[in-house]
Amino acid sequence: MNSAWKYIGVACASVALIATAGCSTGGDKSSDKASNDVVLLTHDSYAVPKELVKEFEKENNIKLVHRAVGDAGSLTNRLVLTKDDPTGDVVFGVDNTFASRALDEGVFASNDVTLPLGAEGYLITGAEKKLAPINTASVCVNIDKTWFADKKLAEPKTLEDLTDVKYRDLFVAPSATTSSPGLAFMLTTTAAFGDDWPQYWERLMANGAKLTSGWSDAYYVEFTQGGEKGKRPIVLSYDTSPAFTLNDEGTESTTAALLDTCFRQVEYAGVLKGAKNPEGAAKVIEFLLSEEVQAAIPDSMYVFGVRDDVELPEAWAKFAVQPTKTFDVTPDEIAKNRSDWLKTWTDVTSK
Amino acid sequence: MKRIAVLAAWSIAPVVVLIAFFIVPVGAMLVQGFWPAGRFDPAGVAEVFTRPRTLRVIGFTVWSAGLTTVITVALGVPSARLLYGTLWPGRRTVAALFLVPFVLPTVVVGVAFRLLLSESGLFGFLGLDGSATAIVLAMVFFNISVVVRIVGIAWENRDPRLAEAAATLGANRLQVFRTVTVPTLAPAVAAAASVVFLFAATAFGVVLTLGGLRYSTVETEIYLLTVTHLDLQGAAALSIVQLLIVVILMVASARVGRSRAPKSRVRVSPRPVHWRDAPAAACLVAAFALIAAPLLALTTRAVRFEGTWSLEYFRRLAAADEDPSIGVSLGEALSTSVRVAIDATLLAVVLGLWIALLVTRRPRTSGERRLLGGIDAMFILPLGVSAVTLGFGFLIALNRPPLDFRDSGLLVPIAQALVALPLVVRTLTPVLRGIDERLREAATSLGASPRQVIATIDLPRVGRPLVAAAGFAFAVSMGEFGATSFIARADSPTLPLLIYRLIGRPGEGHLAMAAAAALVLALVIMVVVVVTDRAHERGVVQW
Amino acid sequence: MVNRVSAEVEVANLSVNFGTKRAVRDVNLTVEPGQVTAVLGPSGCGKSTLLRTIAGLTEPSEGMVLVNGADQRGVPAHRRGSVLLFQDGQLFDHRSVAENVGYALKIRRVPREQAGQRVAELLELVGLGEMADRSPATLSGGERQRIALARALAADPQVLLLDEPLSALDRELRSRLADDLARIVRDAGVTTIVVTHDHDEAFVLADHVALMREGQIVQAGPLAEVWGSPKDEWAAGFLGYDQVLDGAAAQAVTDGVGRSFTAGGRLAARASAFVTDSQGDYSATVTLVRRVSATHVTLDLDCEASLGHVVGVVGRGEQVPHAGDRVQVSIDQAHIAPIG
Repeated sequence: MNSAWKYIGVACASVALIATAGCSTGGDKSSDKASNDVVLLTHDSYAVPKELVKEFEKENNIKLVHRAVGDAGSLTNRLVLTKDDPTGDVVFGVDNTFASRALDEGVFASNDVTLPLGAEGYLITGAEKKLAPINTASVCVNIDKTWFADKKLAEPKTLEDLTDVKYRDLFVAPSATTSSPGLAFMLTTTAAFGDDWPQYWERLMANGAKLTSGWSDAYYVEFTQGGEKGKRPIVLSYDTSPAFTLNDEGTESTTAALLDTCFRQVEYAGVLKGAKNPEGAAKVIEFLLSEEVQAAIPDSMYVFGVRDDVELPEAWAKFAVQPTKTFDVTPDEIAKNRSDWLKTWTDVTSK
Repeated sequence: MKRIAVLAAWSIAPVVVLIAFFIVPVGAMLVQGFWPAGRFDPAGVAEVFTRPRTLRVIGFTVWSAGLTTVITVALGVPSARLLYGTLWPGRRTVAALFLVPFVLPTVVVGVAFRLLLSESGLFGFLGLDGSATAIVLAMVFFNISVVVRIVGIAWENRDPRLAEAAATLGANRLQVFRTVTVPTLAPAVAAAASVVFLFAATAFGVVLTLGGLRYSTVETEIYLLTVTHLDLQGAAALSIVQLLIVVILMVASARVGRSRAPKSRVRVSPRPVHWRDAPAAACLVAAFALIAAPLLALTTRAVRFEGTWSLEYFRRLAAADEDPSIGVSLGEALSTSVRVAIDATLLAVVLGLWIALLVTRRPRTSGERRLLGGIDAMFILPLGVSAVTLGFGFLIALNRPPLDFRDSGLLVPIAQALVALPLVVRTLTPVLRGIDERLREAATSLGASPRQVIATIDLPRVGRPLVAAAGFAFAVSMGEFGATSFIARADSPTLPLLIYRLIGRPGEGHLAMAAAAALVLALVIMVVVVVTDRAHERGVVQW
Repeated sequence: MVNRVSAEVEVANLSVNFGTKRAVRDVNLTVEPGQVTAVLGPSGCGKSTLLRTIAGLTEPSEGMVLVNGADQRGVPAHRRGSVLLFQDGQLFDHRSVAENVGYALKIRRVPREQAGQRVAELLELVGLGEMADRSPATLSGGERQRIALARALAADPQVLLLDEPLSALDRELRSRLADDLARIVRDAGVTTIVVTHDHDEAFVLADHVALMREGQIVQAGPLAEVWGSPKDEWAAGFLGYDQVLDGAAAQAVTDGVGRSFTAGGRLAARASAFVTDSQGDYSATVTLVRRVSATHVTLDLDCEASLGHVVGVVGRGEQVPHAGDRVQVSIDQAHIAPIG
């Protein structure tokens, strides 16, 4: 009798402990899934104006549940690790440097989304029905024009210029292992120099290049136009960056992207294999490609939309110049070599 | 029913929680490493240890954690003596300030240090940016509060009669120090040192922000291997190294810790400052400067706008939900943080009190001793496991009923509660162990059942420490970044995640807004810690 | 006033091991209802362990404890109806004196009014009626022990277990409280086991005594019986006998007092057995004068004839001698007991 009571007591207490969690504030909305829910997985940089989302939900009778899960790398690895039992219906934010890994693992289902004008150019061969391009930006070396004017020093133009002693100790870039523009820049050099790319990096490091862990560190803290009185006038950033460094009158940008040093990044959206709501998922992709969202992309995500027929913000139209030619590495090649390249890169740069 | 069966029954709930939310997820990640493609391949894991980089990473981890420990103890022990042993105006405030770094999010600290040390920063001329020294300095910044706290409280509770006895036996000041003070404080110092070493060896955010890539610790390497290379074998190998470090440290500190129960119930009243204290004062000033400088850099950045003092960045933060690239205001992020922290605190406190009460029951047989000791040790493990491993482990392990938690809003509070849990347990167990067992026996003998003993003897004494522990858990949860950022979460980011988001966005003023948000976070945490700490006059965390 | 049913306690073949250490070895002991039994032994002999085992706070390794014939194995401590009173009282400092005394009543959810009445009664019984609202921390050692006793009695114990109840007090207080304790316990009529290393304490409190040594009961029985014939030399020593006489000396004493001590012929004698007495039959030389208290002196005596060296005391009305003095000594047979 006593023993029985004790066990009942313990059982009740155990239930109470677990229920403590249940009755608290966190256990609400996300756990009860309705049939019209669509779960959208993205990286941390995803941002779409709330009004547009609300409108979309109302029009399509869909509830869009958004989950941000770290950077593009974390996102891709999450998809791979959970491919048998995905945690969402649709994903946005897998870029061309990570796409192949996810494609190889068979993470995506085919979709029937009709692409708008301008998007076809960014499709990945062999995955045309799986990944829809949403936005793009190029990773380019940026310079502080005012600094070079003040110093009466010729502005650098090419990758090779960065190894010139004239530009010693002036360049800062985020690391390829911890930052996605950093990785893109490494890929730029593999495309530009072929098998000799490690030697290029040796020369670059010997010329005083500085590496930071993230893009923000390089741009804000080290770059002369970053707002923190940095000391380096050459930084790895995006082709869109000059649109954010206008002079006081707003007539001119104080920085420029070197258009011969660029690598194009494209971010894709795709329906996940095993999605519970594939129709809703496809609608989300259509939503991301809609004129309204595409028009909002520059201001909310700092990249270009893929649609041709959308007007750019004024500063962008004037100062964010896209490169006409970029260094390209196919997603397949990236997938095949990424790990080896990164190891080589790490060895060269940490000597 | 046998007592051991009752104790075992009471162990079920906390152990189930630990198994479900820690052992299963981490185990799943290890399985992925040891069984790539479904085949057992230990050689693949062993291969990781032959890579020169792995050895370098382990070497740097041990070196940096060791150096951090030495510096922290060297600065912290004299500071603790001055803060807790002498009387001077403002010492309470300074003592409270010493708590702040410990609960600041690492992202914030990383930025603050970079603002100071970068080529353009106030201390840029030192050339420390990106150096190992910078990493060690930041880790000292984080951990000095641990030493000051633990040693300070031991110093306050020491038995002054021993020193007096030695003095009457003709020992001079130095001899008293050597023969009485050192042995008295040694257990506390050893305990503090082992905690600092553990925290330093598992540091993530600081190393990542300050180390660039040249310096990588086991923790950041696990992150790189998992997230960048999807090299789960490598990650598994290094996770095992981490677990080993924790186990070794805990065994070692348990050895030292055994003799630690405070003998004296008398609290030594502080004495006035004396010129003899000058060297200790120098240490305190140095430690204070190290803590104040990054905080000051952060503050300045937050309140300087276009060359004047202004709250502009706070205003922008409050309206940040209108900025499409941020989409969430300071108020929203703060309220998310507070809600999550309340959940996490509740979980950590309920579970922590449960465990503390359980492991402080006096074992009557060797079987009971093993059971309780095992449970005590188990709940230290979360301290030493990489947030990345835990986060990804949640993903792959918690995907089917009854553990279908992957998308639950509870996952973040649960992860944070796991991080805070060891702190709660370690705050409560010394207090409970300090209760004379015979008091419980007297109550038992008077007819009180084990439950009534807990209600009438244990709980009345644990009230105040419980408030302090809750405050600590709340602070840890508010500032937690690593695990939170790897776990799927709903739309609304916590304050540390907002700060991280702000740091990562281009556009004028975002960094300053991040600094402003960090300042808000630091203030909230500081208020909570100071208020709850008031409630607790005797020791906090003891290890 | 008290309507408690006293219990018979039986300890049967009880052993308690701590690892390899055998604290209690095969102990058998019976305490009749209402009896007060002292377990007397040096510190570390296992007597406290025996007491804790009876209370249920320590598990026996072998054997059992029976209360009114019922096996107590598996009965948790809080249901045994035996209350243990610790050496230092172990009052709950976070509760008032009255709350301490009323603890057991509160645990049993006795109605407040009834409990208050009982607490007041018990406080009166131990003579501390006016202390009800004080904090235990403000009490003296003796007062704390009284409160602890009242608290124990409030639990209506079948068996009262006292662990060195007086040894934490100073001498003066000890003898006063010992008398009170003896009176209260006897009035309560509760079966009591008191553990002590002090034979005087045992004599004041108990009617039965069990001598314990290295985990074993050496001798047990009614107080007078045990005291009147200690089982061996060690028992004699522990019961407060100052010396053991054998062979010729024992014979001489036997002859001298004209009473026949049998059994092996060895005798235990207190110092007070040899008294300086100018009318005494034996002459002796004082070799040492030892002052043991303000009023009390013992003498080392070198007696003539076969008596040899003995320890004695100064007789009533006699001068305190100096070392080297010649004195006459008489023998008080009441302070002599045969061994075995």
